[in-house]
Amino acid sequence: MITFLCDSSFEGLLTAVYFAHREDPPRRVVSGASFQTSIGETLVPVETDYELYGKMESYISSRCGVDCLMAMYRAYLSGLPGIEDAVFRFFRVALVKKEETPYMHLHPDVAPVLEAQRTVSRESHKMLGFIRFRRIAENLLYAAYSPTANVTPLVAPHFADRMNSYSWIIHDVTRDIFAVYNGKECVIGHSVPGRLPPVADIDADYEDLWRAYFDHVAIAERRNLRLQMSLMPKKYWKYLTEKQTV
Amino acid sequence: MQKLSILADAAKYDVSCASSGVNRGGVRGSLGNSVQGGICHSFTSDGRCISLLKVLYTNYCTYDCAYCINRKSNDVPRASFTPEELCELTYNFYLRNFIEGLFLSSAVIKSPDYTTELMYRTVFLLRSKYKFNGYIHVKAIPGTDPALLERLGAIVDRMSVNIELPSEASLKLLAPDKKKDDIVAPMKLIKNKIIEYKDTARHLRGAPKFVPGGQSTQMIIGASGDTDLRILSLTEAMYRKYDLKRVYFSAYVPVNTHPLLPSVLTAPPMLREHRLYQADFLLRFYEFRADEILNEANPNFSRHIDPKCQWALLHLDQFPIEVNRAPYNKLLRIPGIGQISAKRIIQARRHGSLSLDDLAKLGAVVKRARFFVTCSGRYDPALKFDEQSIFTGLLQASDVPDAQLSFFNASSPVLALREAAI
Repeated sequence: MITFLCDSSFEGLLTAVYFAHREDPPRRVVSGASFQTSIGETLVPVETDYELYGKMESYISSRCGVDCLMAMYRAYLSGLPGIEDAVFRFFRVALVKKEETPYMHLHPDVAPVLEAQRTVSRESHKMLGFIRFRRIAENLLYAAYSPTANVTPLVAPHFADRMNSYSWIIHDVTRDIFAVYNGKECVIGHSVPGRLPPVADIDADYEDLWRAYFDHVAIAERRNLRLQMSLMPKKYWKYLTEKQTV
Repeated sequence: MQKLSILADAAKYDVSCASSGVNRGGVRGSLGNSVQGGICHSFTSDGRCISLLKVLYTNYCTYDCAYCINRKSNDVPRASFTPEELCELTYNFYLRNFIEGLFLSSAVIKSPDYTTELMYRTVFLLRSKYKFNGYIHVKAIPGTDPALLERLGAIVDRMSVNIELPSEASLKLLAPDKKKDDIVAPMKLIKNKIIEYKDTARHLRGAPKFVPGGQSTQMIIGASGDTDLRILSLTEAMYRKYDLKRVYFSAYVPVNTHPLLPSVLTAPPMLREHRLYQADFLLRFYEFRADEILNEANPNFSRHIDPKCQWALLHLDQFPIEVNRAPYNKLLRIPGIGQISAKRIIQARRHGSLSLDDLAKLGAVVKRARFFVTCSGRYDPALKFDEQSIFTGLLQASDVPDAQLSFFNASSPVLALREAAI
């Protein structure tokens, strides 16, 4: 068994998918982040080739449809164990089934990618609401959060449109990924240019006001903590202003 | 802080908090945009979504509606915002991504015109000086001068007029200061202005907009003696006549002591509210008519099974439906199958015939759907297709905890449905 080992980027994944596809079976794609080797397995490290990635990207979107590319990308962002190989198997089906692929809900090589895509899309939508900014300087906003999937590239454009007259930083604390917007463009990376001012709100009164509002707008007679918890899972509470006790 | 607490408390019985219906990109130099599907920012301890900052401008009220916490004869703390205060609050909450925008309502202070003028000044300031481009929903107060409402409608995303109670009779009894005609007039105005704007927009790009998110309304459930049939028919008429985006139901929380109202010890009729929302979805997305769901013989929802199951059980002649062949609108009629699973069924069956297990993978709720479908001509061999067996089976799959117990006291399913009405 030949296994292609890529780095944790989407570019790396599509590079490995290309090489794995070219080989005669059997083969498998894994990323450096999560894999276990088994006996009799040949590990082939793949160096990310950005030019090849570009070709793959435009090939998939023109031949199989943008929806296929989108599904592969969003599924990849889930970071679920084994998702790289799932994306590879999805790609193999997409080459044959083209635009129809995203509708093949029951195909064993398609379903896992669609499922992962749905999970990621759902979480990224939730994060549009759950991200909390602090105004850490007159014109600078900072948000720390910890999503289950790597949704930062999906949520950043929304805030670039919405908060376009401010500079802001969205910080995925678990992955240490930053989306940095300077009032013109947004860059996603592993660091912040310059030094970060202290991450406290310069007008923390608004956080207190928000907590007060949050408590008062609930109707005691309708109390339903289970419903609240299912719609706003506990794993997100750490970074929610209204759920922090001061 | 005191003020915000009072005016949030006073507004919390209003149901709507949706920020949907408008897709508007950001504008350079302004703060905010709007997303078609709306965004929930938090969920309160009662499990309701917080999307908008929902407050009253003031809770000083000239009216004395029996069901309302803010009625003038109630001894509650009172407060008023100023336009500046509300703008600062909205802007700063929005900047921290606490909210999608503002939902501004008010008690009636002095007169409807005076109150609306204050709300207009607030919204105008927010849009102009604060350059706020987020979502704004305002309550249109019955009895306001149409010209003033028109000005307000041009700078907000959604407007709503509460019809408060499901019939004119209960309105007379419980809200003597509000008249049906006063409530209907602004609804008509808003509807007509929306039509006008859409018509102009067809010929003139960038024509001034008018409440692009449409209008909604809400009514209180359980404060008056109206039947579910009455409420649902009214809901249907509202969608048809006034082209509403949503009708909201609010289970009455007894806040006042009044001879005509449920006692303050009564729990809010949450299940009834839930059933009404289920039926409302059947009207809006499932191509049902109100008189199919309920009728004079069965004027109320069942406590034990949802409206779609109730309808299916009374129309067994239309079942079982073959999932591998039925068109979309027939699939939608099957309990346990929703819009998403129906679409997926149609997509997936192009690639092979579907079994019950497949339906589950496609997102259908098989514990309900299995009573009503055949897969490639086969009805689940473990089940019997008759009224009694299906009813028993549905009760076992019911979301209401005591459903299974109380069933055993009923002699026939249809009778049980009626007896179990809420």
